[in-house]
Amino acid sequence: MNGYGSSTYPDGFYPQVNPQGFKPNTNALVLKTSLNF
Amino acid sequence: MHKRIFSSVFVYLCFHAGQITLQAQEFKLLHRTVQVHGFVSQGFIYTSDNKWLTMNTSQGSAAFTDFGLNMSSQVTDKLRIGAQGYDRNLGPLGQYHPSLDWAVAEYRFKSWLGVRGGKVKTILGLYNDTQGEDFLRTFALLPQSLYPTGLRDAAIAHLGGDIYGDISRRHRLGVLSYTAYAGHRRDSLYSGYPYLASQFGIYYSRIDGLQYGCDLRWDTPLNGLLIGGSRMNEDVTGHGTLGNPINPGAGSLPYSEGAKADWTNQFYGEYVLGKLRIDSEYRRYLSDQIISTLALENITDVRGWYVSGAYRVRKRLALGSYYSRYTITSVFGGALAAVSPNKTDTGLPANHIYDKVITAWVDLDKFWDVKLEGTL
Repeated sequence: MNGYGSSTYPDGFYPQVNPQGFKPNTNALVLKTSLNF
Repeated sequence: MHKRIFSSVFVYLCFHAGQITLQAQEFKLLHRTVQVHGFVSQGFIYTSDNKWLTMNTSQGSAAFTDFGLNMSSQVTDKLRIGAQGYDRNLGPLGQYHPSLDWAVAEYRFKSWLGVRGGKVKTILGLYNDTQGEDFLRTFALLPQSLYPTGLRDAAIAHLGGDIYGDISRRHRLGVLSYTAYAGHRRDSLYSGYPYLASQFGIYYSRIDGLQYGCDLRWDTPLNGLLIGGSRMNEDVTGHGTLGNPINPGAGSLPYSEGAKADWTNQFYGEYVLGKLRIDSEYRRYLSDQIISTLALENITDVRGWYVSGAYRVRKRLALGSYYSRYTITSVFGGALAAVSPNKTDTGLPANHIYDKVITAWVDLDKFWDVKLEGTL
């Protein structure tokens, strides 16, 4: 991801969990498993 | 603690006793068939640098669980009732506080006229009302430019009523479907917005207000092509407390905020051709917010769009990819505007998120799937 959005809108990057500040780019790997019936 | 234990047990039972649970999909009550459906999902996210979605993802985090259970019944030919309970834990969000996702009575007078009442899922674009139904789509996460995971429980439903219907047009001009709604929105206090605000010492006791809007979509004569648009207006206020910024030891101040304007426009298209599905949506959200306690006005302008494609390569494997862009600007006014600089340059990383995603979706069986998604 290029950018980290605003610290005043909940767009995914939250200052509370990034107290050291943000870096401009982020790569992410998501693994998700679901059961449905 | 008890909620965590209960939720953990629920998740365990769903995963490990799934074969038993999955058979029980309907029962009879007062001579009516009641259908039971549910889902449970568990995610793991690892990020290279910044932590994402409130979790400690730079170390790898599995604090990403949600599940829901719904029941519905067709009481008569025209009357249907149903409800869904939902719970989640996403980092510090949700915290396994169960919520009523939706609970609806729906009466269809004619194909072109129906009414719904209760806690009704809000129709906004292609996916707002089906955010919890992972099994319907290829991607593990919906494009965050339009469907931020942290705001799921703020956007999902309103307490009120809808009128809706399908109008079949002559000369094979397709089907026009409309929905108009009005109601009351009430946010979970364990959602992304209250969590974000806590960094400023704001602790909400309530976020709620009027929500009304409409959606119009056209299932066009070109087989598989759907286009549409949604509009949502809101008048949401927030109340709570604010830590005293001048003298933190003096206790908290009452806090309130409201909106002079709060609206969303969304336009979308979907094309399905055999095993191929292409979606695209654009959303603009504008909020002109008055924060009374701080004599501050904040105009937030959010714009996002994405284009996605997904293709079912084999019976149990689908691949998908999307490109998404999100920009945000904030302009401040009022007495404290001097200490809140405007943020209007969307070229800065603090005012945008652009992401490219690729996903593999594997159906292990009819009820169980796994998705692997990379985001750059």
